[in-house]
Amino acid sequence: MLIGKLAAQGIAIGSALVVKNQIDLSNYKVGNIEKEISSFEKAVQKYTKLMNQKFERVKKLYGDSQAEILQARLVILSDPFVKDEIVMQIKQGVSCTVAVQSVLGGFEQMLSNSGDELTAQRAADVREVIDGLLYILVDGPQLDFDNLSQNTILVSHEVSASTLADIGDNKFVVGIVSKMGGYTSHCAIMARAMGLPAVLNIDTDVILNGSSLIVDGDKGLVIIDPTKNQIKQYQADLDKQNDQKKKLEKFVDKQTVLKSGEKRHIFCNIGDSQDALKAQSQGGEGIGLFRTEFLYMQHNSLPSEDSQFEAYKRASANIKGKPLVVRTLDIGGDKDIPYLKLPKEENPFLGHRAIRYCLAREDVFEPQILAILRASAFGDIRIMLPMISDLMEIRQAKQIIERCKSKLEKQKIAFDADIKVGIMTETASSCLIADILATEVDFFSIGTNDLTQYIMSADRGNTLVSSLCSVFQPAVLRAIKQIIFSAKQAKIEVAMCGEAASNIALLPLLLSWGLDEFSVSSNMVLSMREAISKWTKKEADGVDAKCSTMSTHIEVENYLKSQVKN
Amino acid sequence: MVSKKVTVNLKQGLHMRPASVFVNQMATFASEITITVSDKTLNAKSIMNVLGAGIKFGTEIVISANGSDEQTALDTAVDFVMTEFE
Repeated sequence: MLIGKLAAQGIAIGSALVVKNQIDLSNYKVGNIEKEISSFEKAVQKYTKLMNQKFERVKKLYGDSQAEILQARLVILSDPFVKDEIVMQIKQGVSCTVAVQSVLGGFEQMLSNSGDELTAQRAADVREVIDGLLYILVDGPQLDFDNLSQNTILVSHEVSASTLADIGDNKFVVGIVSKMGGYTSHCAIMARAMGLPAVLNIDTDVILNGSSLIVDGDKGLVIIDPTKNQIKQYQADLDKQNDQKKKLEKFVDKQTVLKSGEKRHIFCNIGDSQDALKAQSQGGEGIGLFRTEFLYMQHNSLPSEDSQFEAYKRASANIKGKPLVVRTLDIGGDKDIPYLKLPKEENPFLGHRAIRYCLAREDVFEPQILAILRASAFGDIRIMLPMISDLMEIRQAKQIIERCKSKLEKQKIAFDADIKVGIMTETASSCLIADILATEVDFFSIGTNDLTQYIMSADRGNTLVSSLCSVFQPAVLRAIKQIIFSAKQAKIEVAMCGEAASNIALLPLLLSWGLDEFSVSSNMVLSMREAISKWTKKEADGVDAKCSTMSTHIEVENYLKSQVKN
Repeated sequence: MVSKKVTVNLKQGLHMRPASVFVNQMATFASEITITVSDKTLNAKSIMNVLGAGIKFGTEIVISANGSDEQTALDTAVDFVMTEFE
């Protein structure tokens, strides 16, 4: 059994297709100068053709920003200077494989030693081009995704985004195992979007081609040559998952309604525009939380206004123009972005984070607001401000938003002039003054993870205080109720985007109090919709009435868990 | 031959994305186009050359063009590095 990093949930049982990334040059037969030159030119043509095909496919499936990665390779390939150098070396009697390696390898070295991080990253593109050309020159087998055997598990040193694009919606590939990458790697993000179980950080050298494998994407495990018992056990789990999936599938295009007829909405939380595809396929009615931090973490410097605009626009298109709530940068606390060089703070969770940071750094905040506004011309996009604890923060942020609007107006760039602006209600103060805040915003979204820690004054990362940090604490429940109540009074929408939104034990309370939107991870949409359909408003009110007489979180938790409908 | 000294105004310098657009534009001219940066002269039509030079925001460079369409080529190149491409 190999333990890796979990990257995409689910279970896959199948046989390994080991894809070697290494290229064996020893079989390459060197010809005369003319033949070497023509081999080189043919290889460039073929690689260009492959990249163009891939470019179109990736663009269609995953959008411009992913496709742009491939574009870099095409530009390198068409560099006249590089071509001339390689041909010149061949004319001097060097074989074509050696010339490619020496010329492009020289540039790879130069870029990676440039001392500039952005430039150094481009070395990887050059390496891709070298490998791609050599692979063609030694006539390496191109993966033929149309002729795979059933239940193929792709095993490779590194599974690139372009390989995943090749897989596309191929039904024969059921899982992915790779040595490189982590939860936030391109491979992991795409595997999740595609619903393919994936485990990364596995020593793939020990896996033989054709060997029987189990990929446990829930635990981050890979089992080689599993025993009959293990297969039986996992097959049972897999069957259960599939049964459950089938049962839930009928809820995909249904509305979210209680048994007694009241409507609710299930939205999704995403971290990337590609996640919105999954949200759409799972029947999400919108995106209740687009965590934009990931856009900032992916880069080594602030993402430009344009690249953010593309990401928001793409996410909106991926969810078919349904509501998309973009949360402005929420950093600090436990989320760091190295290049911003945030100072160490004594109490980071109580420090200069999220909206507090953004209001002090308009050079960071403004491009994001401009990008969201520009994207709002293309779909129902809303702005959400995190960590609000004071009305003045809302007013200040709104001033910046208005300033950005007039900037765009002057430049005659389209945007939604009536864009909705809402806030995360996740601090103790935002709960206590929720009625005041509600008069100046368009919606609330309750962030229960932070709300719990702030109401209970208990660090959610510290296991010693984890019993305090429970959403079942009467204090936390009262806070949630008060926020929903204030929103109802002011007639604004109220959503919940924390983990509690998909906590099935809490459901009757949230239904009774009138929460409008549940924003959950994409794979929870259908089960939440099913769960909601089992409750009548009256039953939920009954649970609330009983619950409000209880005084400890243990009592509350035990009672609510006993009321869950299966 | 025509040439001009300019200060690069591209916020992130000539990194991959602007550099790709730049060399693609340069490739459309018949003239030979070069960039001279701190005593090194390089081919402005070569992505590897341009990237390798690591030209950052605020760098002073000399762009030269030599050929039938040298003036348009020079103007296009100068315009490009002077604008705020993001």
